[in-house]
Amino acid sequence: MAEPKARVDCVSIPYLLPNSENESGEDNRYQAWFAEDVAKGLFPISGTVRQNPVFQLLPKNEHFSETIQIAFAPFDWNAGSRRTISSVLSGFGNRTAYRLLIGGSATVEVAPILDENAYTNRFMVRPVDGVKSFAGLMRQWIPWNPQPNLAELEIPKPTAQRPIRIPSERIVRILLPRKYQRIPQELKALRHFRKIVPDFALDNFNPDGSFKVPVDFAELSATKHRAVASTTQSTGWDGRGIFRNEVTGHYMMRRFLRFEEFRIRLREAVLSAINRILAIMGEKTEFCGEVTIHHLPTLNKVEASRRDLAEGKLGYSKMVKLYSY
Amino acid sequence: MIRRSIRLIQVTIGPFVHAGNLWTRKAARRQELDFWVARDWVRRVQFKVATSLFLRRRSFNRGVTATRVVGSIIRNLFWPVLRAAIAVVLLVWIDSFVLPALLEYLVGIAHTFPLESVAMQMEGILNWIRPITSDPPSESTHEALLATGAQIAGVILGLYFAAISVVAGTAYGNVPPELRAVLIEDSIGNAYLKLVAFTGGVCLFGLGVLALGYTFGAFSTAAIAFLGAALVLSFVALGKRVFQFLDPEEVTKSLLRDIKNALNSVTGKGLLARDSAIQAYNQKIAEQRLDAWDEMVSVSIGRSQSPSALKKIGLNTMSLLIGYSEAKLPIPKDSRWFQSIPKHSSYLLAEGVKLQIALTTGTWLYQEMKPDQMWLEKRAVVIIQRVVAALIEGGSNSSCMGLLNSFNQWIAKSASAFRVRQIEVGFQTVHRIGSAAAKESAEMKEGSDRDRLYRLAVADVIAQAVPHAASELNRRLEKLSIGQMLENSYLATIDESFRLGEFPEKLRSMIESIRDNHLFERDIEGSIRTPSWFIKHHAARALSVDLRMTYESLLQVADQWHPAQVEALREGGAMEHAAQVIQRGLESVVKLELNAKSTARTLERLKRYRNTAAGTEWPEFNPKQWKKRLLKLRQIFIKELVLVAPCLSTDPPLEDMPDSFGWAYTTLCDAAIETLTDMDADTFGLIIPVLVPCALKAHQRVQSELAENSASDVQFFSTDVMLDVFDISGYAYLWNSCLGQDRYWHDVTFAWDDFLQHNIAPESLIILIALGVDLYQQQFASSQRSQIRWQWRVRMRQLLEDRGFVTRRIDIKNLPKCIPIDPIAASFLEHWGFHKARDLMLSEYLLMRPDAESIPVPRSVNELRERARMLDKNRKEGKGEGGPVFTGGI
Repeated sequence: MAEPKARVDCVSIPYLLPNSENESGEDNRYQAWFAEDVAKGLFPISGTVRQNPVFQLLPKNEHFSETIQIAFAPFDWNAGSRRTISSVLSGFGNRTAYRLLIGGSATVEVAPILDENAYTNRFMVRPVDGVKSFAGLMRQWIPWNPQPNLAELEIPKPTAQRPIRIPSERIVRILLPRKYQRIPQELKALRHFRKIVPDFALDNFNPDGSFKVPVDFAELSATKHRAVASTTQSTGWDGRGIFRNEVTGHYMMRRFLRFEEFRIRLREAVLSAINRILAIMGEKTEFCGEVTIHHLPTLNKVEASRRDLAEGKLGYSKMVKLYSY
Repeated sequence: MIRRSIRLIQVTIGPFVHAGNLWTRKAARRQELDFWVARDWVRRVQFKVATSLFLRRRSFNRGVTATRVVGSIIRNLFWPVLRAAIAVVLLVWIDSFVLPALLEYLVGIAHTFPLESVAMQMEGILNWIRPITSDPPSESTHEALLATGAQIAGVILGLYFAAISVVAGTAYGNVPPELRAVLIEDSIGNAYLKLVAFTGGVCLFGLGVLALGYTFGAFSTAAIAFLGAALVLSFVALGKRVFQFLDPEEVTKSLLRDIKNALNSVTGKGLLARDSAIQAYNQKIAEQRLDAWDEMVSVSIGRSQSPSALKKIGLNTMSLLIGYSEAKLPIPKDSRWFQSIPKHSSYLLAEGVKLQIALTTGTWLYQEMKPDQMWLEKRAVVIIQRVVAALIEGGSNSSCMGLLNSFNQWIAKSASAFRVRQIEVGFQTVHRIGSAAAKESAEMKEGSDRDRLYRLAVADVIAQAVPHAASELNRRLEKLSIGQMLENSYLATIDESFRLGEFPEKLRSMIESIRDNHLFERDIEGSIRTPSWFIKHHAARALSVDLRMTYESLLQVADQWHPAQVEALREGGAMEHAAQVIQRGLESVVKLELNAKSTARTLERLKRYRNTAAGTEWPEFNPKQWKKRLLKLRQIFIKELVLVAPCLSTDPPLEDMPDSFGWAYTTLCDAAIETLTDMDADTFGLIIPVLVPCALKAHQRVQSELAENSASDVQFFSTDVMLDVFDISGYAYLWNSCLGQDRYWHDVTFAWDDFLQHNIAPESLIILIALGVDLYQQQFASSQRSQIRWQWRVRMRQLLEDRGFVTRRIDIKNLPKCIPIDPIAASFLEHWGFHKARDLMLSEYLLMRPDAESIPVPRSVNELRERARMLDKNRKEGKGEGGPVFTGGI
């Protein structure tokens, strides 16, 4: 006997617009690196140095835990190995962080799964693109004439879009903490430096090896490094060390702590979003609980490290040990 | 249309309204070709403006120089001209007033004469004189004056150019263009020449004016007369300068002036000083002047100029070197004043930009032009080296010494300022000069006493470069205020106007690097975020590197250069020179030992500023390793001295020359004691065979030195010098009996056997020694050498105390822990205060020889033997000493 076919009941159009996440790797090296570095260490459940941080569902509920695993299954980054609540939530967190840093916001829909004609207690969390919120109303911008058979496929960006109103009960919109909301916009300004050396500089040689137009490569690099450093100043990202030789070790450590603070705040924002998703799912399944994560640095710890650093009590190796997971 | 306009506006102002912050906008602008084109254009304009400003300033400076020269001319000519003018005025006054008045007076007197014939004669004379005084000056006089002036100017110009042509044809005919340029650009000569030409021009124009019918007044006449007089008188100075054109001192002074001017142009903080094109221009000027300087040395050497001329060139070069070392400190390290040298980069560590360019264009990594901070010093020391080599070759040692002393002072000053690169450059030069001097010394064995004396002095001056530098370094380390220096380092990182001259190289480099880091922080954060403790940590670290490198560079030089120099001299047969270099080498070792202690102490103090939070790496230093190297170096010198000492002259020393033999003998005695305390039997085995014959030579020399004195004095002092070796031999016996170190005593007996076998009358020699020692001890007198021997005795006792053979002086009630089996040694130790080590040697070796049977035994030896017999008897009877009996060596 054939298994009854399940269907996801979506209110948004599952139409994946070609977003900047897909383009950024080519277009903006620094933005992609930054997002990668942040996302990589946001929910590091596979760390080996220290006790692994794990997600815990409080109060414990095996049934709801299974529901979470099913709902977040598309985000599981441990595909192939045993799926756990930590693996799916960590995957969701990292992916969401990436989207936040590239696009400035991330929206997901908590869609129930229909079994034949009835709702089951299962859900599917899926990203929704093109959602904008205004005066409490949510609208999704979709192609003017979406072709259903093109859903889930990456197609050229449509030139014309139209909004459709979507009910907000199933939608969770995640934003960057207020302090960092300008980051994606600022990072976009780094797209000018996607090439190591500008084309004109490479075509600039005379046959004798001299330059047709004198280009100061040292200055070119120095301004680029300052541009990266100033853009990521509030987050403390080290630009993968591109300006390491131009600053003191102490300044790099300060930035490191600032970056940790940024990750903590972002982690809190994502965790809060996960709990909102769980709340939506809990309404249907009559479960009231939340997930927490342990064994990760806290803001208090960063503040204490900052004090130690200022007083000369915290060295680089000690700090690396403190924040490695 | 509208869309196109919008696009155009976007393209034009796009980079300026670029989303992002200041730095992303700046960086984005630099990604456009137009930016670099525009900047190139702006730089070209800037260059033109700067060049224009520079030319105007140079023109102004030249004007100022010319004015100064004219001022100098006026000052020089004022009094001669004034004297001439006063003479003329006096003459005019006599003509106009005195003479007529005198005539009137004489006429009056003539009228009073009673005899008419006499009165008429006088009237006739007066009538003849009167017309001469009453003629007023006319236009023809002016004309004559102007014509004469013009003629004189012409003649002088002709003479001057004739003289110049002669000089240029003979002296400058075969000199390189760089040197000829000095003659052409001679500013003082040019100023004189302009004065001559100007006067000639004025006179000719004056004639023209007269021809047009105008007339001159009194002032014009006086002015033309003044110029004419100045013209003639100035030619004296101008003519004299012709003879100075190839005077090395004058030429090098002129070159020095030019280099200073060029240097001053880049040391300031003005717009022009910071302009890289101006810096490069001035560097080129300085380089050209140095080329000319170099040529001047070649010309002077080629023409066999007097040594004093070469010395003056050398001194002027030293003046340049010393002045420049300080003057260059304010110049930024990336200034174009420093000659740029292309440097290749590592492919594996190159930046992405460089790699990308190299891979795309198929070229090598583009070379970076790095400034050579030592370019001028390198040129200057080569000149000094050439001058000194020429002086040494020409046998002008006295001229050479002053120059070398100055050079040593420069190196010492560099050491005290921890300028490692200058020290290295300086010692490389000393090394080369030393090699030349060594070669010369080896070749020139003959010569007057004066020559010999000066050659020795030159070798000595060269060899004292290291100890001199070490002394200065020690003095600096004692005065060094670390806290203040680190505080200043911190201030210098935050205050751009702080002068960096006082800081050593590494520290300065660190400060400059931190300044750049601060700039980055200011750009990004708006303020400096790095705290002072972090900077002080790194400043202390950099200073530690400076100190360690400075010390190790001195150690390296002493380690490599001195032994090689000694060996070369010894192999060349210049033993006196070799002894002198050994002396300086040992002096270096002592001073470097002191330095090692003070450097290690200072480095430990610097370590207190270490903060592991600022970084874990810290320069390692190993004082034990330094000590080991110095010990090894000392051994090398002692070994060389062993080879050199037998060849040294044993003639009584002259007061104007150092006593090489006396020094060698005394030093070897001290070294032998050192080997006993250090248990270095190998070196002892090398020293003692040389020391024994040297002792007799010393004995004979003292006898000849004191030939005029009383016999008792001669006996006392001549025995005194030998006692050193007897005591050393006695200690060797003690080492054999107490410590089981039989090699010492074996070497001693072998050396004495060998010496006595080769002696014509060993018996009489032994009598001489035994009687001498007996008489010496009976005199109860003390000599200078006995004080030294007392020191040795204290050191030996200390060692025996440490080993338990002798009780400590404050612990006399207790018995020693060990007692030697040998009764003589045991008796000696028991009665330490009554006997000297030499008694052991006399008793157990010299008087035991078959050829010494008939020789009367000295009293002290007799007593020692008697005590030993008693001890032996007691032992046999079972009356032990009460302590544990020693049964062998330790």
